[in-house]
Amino acid sequence: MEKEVKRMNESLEKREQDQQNRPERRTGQAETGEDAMRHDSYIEQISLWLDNELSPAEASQLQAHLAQCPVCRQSQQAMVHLDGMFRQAASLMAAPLPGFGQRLEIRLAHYHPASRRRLLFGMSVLLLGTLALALLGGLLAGLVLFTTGSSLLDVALIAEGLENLFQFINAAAAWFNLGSLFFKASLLTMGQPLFWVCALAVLAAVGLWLRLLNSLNRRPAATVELLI
Amino acid sequence: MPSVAPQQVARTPFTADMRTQEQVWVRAALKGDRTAFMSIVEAYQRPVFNLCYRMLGDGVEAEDAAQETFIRAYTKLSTYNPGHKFSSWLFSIASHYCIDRIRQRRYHMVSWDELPPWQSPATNEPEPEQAALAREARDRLHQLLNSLQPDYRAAVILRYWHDMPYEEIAETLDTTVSAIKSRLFRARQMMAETARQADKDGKGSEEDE
Repeated sequence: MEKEVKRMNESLEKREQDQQNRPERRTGQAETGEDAMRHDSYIEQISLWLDNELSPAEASQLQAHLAQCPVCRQSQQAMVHLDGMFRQAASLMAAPLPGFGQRLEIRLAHYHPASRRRLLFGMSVLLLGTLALALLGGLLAGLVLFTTGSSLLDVALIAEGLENLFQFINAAAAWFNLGSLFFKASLLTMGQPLFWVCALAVLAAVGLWLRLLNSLNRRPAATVELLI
Repeated sequence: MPSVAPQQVARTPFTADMRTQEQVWVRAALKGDRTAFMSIVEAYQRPVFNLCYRMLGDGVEAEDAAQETFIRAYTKLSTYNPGHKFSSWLFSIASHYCIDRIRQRRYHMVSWDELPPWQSPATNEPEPEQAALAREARDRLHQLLNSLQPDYRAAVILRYWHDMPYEEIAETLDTTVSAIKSRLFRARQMMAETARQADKDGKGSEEDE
């Protein structure tokens, strides 16, 4: 790359001398917006040229332009200089302190990505297991009582149990009715603009509080460095 | 306590054999093999750390960001598409994390001017003149990088330090090739202007003295 740059610069200097010798050379003309755009497009080409992204035809077209444009040539020289600096610096990689893997393993040990999934799975297994056990236990108990003709299979007792069950269903129905009434009342209230004003005000207040708490709890890394 | 620059080591390019081995590790890690994942960490810790360090400009923050990158990679390994390069996927996580982190700094109203300057390792022994010059050049280069906005900076780092072609940078930064061309061009233009301005200011202050 360095050789190529050198070759290009030599060629440019030669062309520049040729240009200077020409009597019709244009000088002292004010740069227009159109010129600036044209420079930008060539400077973009210089960037592509540095990355070897130009075809030979495009590269020679750029070279021809650079030979007659001091503005673009100045940009090219600055960019080539920068490119050299970066290429030199990029020959070295920043390395972490020894033990990076061990430190990561410690962090990973405290991090259980599948824990939530596992917890859900465990809960489901537990729930299904409990239900299955209850069902099995009930069936077994009923079977034992039925086969032994136990006095526990008292008709009056069963009737009382059924009555209790019906009472419970009744109470549940009453609560359900109450709930649906509350829901209807809520729907009516939501029709009022004042409700929405209040709701939005509460939401905004909660949001502001959360943001404040968040900014107080967050460790501002850069600021900490400044303080230390 | 000022931030200290980490150790700088020569680059070791990835070979085709390493890439094949990497796919074996990824497959094993996907099956839950933690040792295979740690082999990936071993292979990539340096380039990932380097990317984070060049992006954030601080060794401590870079360590944290690199570790976070690997934790994210570990937890999202199932989303990796084996049709793409693993390194691009990993660098994508690191780049986006660093870009977000830099934006958060802005959220905390810490301007670039307030950030601590790039520090090179401090030694008690007097440095040879050449080493001092090299260090000065490196610090200057990092300051130029710092002057860029994070997504431009990421493109420059991936281009120079990680030798990525435009297509791969675009894939890593989740954008188009033309956007990368534009970012690199603008970044170079801005840095050239910053350098020119710094030279001018330097000369001006010397003349004042």
